[in-house]
Amino acid sequence: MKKPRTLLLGILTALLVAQGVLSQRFIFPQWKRDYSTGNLGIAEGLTPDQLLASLSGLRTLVAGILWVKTDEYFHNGQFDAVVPLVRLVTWLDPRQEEVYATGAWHIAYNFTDEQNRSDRRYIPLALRLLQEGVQYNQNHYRLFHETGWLYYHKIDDDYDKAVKWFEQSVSKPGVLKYLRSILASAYQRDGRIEDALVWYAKLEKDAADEFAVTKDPTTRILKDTQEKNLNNHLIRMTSRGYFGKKAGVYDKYPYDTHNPVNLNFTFKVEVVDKKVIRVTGTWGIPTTGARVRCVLRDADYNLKWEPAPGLDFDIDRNRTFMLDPLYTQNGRFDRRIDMSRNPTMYGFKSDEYVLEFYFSPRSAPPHIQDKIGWNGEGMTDRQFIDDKVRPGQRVLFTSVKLTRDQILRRGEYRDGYVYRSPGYKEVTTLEESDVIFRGSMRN
Amino acid sequence: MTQILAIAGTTLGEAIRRRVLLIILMVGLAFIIIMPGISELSARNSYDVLSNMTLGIIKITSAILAVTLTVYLLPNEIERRTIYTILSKPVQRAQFLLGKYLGSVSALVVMIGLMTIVLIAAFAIQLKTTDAKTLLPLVRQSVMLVFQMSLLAALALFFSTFATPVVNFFLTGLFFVFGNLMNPLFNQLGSGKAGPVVGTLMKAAHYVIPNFGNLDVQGGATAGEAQIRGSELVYMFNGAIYAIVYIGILMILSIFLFEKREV
Amino acid sequence: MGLAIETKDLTKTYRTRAGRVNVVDHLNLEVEEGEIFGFLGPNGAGKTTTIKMLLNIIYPSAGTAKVLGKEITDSSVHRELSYLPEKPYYYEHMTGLEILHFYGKLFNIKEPERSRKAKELLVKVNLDKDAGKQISQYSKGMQQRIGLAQSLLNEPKLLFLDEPTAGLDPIAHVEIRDLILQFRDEGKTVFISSHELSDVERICDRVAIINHGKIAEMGRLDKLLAGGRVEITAEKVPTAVEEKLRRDGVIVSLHGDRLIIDAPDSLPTDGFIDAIRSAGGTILSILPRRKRLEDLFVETVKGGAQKAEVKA
Repeated sequence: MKKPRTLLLGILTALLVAQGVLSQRFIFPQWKRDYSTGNLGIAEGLTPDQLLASLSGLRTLVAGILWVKTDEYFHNGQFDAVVPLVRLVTWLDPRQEEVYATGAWHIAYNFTDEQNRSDRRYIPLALRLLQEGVQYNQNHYRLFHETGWLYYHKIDDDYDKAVKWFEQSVSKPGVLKYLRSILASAYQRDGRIEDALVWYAKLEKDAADEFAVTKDPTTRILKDTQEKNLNNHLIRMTSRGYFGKKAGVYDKYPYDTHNPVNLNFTFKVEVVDKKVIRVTGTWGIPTTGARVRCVLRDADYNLKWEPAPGLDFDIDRNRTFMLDPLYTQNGRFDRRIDMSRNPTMYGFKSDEYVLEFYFSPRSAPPHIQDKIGWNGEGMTDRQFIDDKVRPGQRVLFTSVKLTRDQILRRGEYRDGYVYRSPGYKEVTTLEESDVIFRGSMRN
Repeated sequence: MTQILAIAGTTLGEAIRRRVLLIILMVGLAFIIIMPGISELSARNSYDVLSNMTLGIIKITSAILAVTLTVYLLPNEIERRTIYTILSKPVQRAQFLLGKYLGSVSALVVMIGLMTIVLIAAFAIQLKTTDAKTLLPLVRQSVMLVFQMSLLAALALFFSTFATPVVNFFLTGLFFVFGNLMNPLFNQLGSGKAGPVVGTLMKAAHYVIPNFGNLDVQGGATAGEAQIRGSELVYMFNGAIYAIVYIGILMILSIFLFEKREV
Repeated sequence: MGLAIETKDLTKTYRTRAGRVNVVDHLNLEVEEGEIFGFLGPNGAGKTTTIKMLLNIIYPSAGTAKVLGKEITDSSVHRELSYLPEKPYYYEHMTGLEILHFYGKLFNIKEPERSRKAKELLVKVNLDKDAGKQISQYSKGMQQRIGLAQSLLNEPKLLFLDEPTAGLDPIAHVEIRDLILQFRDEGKTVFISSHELSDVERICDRVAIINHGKIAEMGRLDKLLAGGRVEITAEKVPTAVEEKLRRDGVIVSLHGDRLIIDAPDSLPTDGFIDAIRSAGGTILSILPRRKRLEDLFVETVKGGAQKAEVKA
């Protein structure tokens, strides 16, 4: 009896060591890589029964219920509750792509002030959420596409990133066909005109190949669309002088981008009330579709869209960042920007501010790009053309400094503050109409 | 070996007789009630929701089965005095214990197997598919469930060598919940973020406590990715070995305690 | 003949709230091979505890014991003995035949031997017709008989039977009793723990009466119960004599006009007979009666209790 006991004790010791090594060295590292669902601290937001259920394999269900709840909060306008709940849902069920996508959309687009300007300070958070989702859903296109779309459409400035994410998205199996052409548009906005051509050509060939096999009406429509896209692009490259430049004959022929459009940009900034500014000005592109981006921000707060590493899911509430895409019409703009009713969004805690105006030809619609080109070679302005802030492009860019006292109408600015750019002329009453009557850019 | 198998056989027979039909019926019914409604609740595609949901139900059911089956294994034998007719035969206590355990595990295999068949049938009907790609992952998770539940049964059997059924239920349940949480807890607290004492305790716990989370491939975050890399099979294999090793530990400890015990 | 069971100062101590209690207290027991030994005692006297110790199911606190010449810790001895616990439930989902196969496997009996034995034993305990029925459909007597059958699978030299007739109807009693007597004829040693005294009295060769974990009385049954009483049957006994007899401490009972006198032989029976005759009565018979086991048991246990009280 003694001997088997000693033997068993020996086996017991060996097994204890073995399980420890197996668990620590082999299983845990792989668990961390493949199965970890992130931060457990998040679990604090669950009621005990939800927590218990979530641990016992019903996580998906709990996540589903919470997601319904999230939607409720969103529609009630309780935005503060939305972000943590989205975090919780994704923690419970990190493979719910829809939650990442919709959650990021809410965060980036839907936290708005009274005049429907979204709170741009949240954009890094939305990106962060999407990137986390991408980590957990790497073999599916959806969140790559959503991230690309956020760069392309919402940020609408950092097209390198948009291209990068769309390239990932289209390389995933099962990506929807109609989503693939967005990459060509992103290439164009990023200034990679030939890459766009190559991609349009590939899409056209794929569609043609598919139609050759299936011969069904749906693929025929797709094939026609891709053909049209490719042709349009070729026509634009030609008419905007892309090929002419390459051949060194750009100056010889009357391309559309010659005889540049004069942007004729002048502006006036008035602090009409506490935290209410009015920007008015002239604008040489009279047709609709070209928006001038107006930003008012803390002087030292140049918001980087890309989330910083280790960014937690909250924003710096002391910072102010207002962005308004100014709607222009009949050669002018006039916008009253009221920031007084959303103190959480516009805290105005800093002393110094910068007001910026920015227009890039890359984000302009095609019919305007036809005149000014992809890089702004077809536009001019007496004062504000800048070829440094966006390398390789001629953009419109200017800024003025404002102080806290000016914006809050304090001290010497009790009666208001007005800034007029050089050459600013008050807009005549003749053109103060909602009717768009100026269709041509040629003045 | 004959003795172990004989004891295992009767244990299996008894377990099956008692519960299996009822359980399968209940689980099947639950599926039928839940499945059509469940996809409404989630933003995710219905296959994932359904599979997680239904496998969750199977997991809970099997955990309850595993615990109830083993917690009463020894007390029932003693109460009915059948244990005396067995131990007065040329049967070692270790053989008795192993036989009882193997019997329970076979019962679990049968029950989880049947529930999986019901599950696959329900899926095939609900999604109108017999595609192996759709249905095979369910089987894979059921296999891991067998290992997880075998470990749970070994734990309950171990406690039953010295604790009363009520205490045993509590202990086993506690360890099951804690063991399922082991990896995330260790990940969070093992680094000493919450103080050195908690960190050390967490490390010790992670080393010693049966880690049920190691046997869970359900809800794997990048499980899709892991499948593509083929590393899910490695993970499953490691997990299975871990379970077997840990069951070995619990069985040896149980044998030591049971040898000493007066029944 | 050797000893089938031999204990020396076998003791089992339990801790209770009241302190340590010796459930079995320095028990010295010798059971010879080939006899039917009755192990008697009131409930809680330590009978089952003793048996469990002998079977190595629980462990003695002190003392030693040998079974069939081997130490009780030597599990090889289990091949040669069998145990039928009090009121065991067998796995109800199994049939009688399956039960025998199950226990046969525990004895490591291989086929076809196992099937042959099972069949034989089913005939022996008269269950061959019910072999295919589940245990849950068996009556108590049938369950006890299948229990006996399983305990015979290994052709044991020594059988421990714990209350083998408890809760059975009279016919089942007789059946079990006959089976046990049959065992003795086959040369087996049978150790019966019981308080069904009439059964024990009919079949046991020797008995031990245990009380509070100690042996209160032990010996051959015929010797323990020998002598003791005389039964006198008389007629036409005058009432005066009857009353005098009663006063002298004899049990007197009237059956019609017959008077039955049951007197311990320590009293002067000749004097009673003379008294009846001289008063005109007729003596019909004089019979020496064995003591009843029940009397012995009650005396012993009560005596023990009184002793214990005195001690306290």
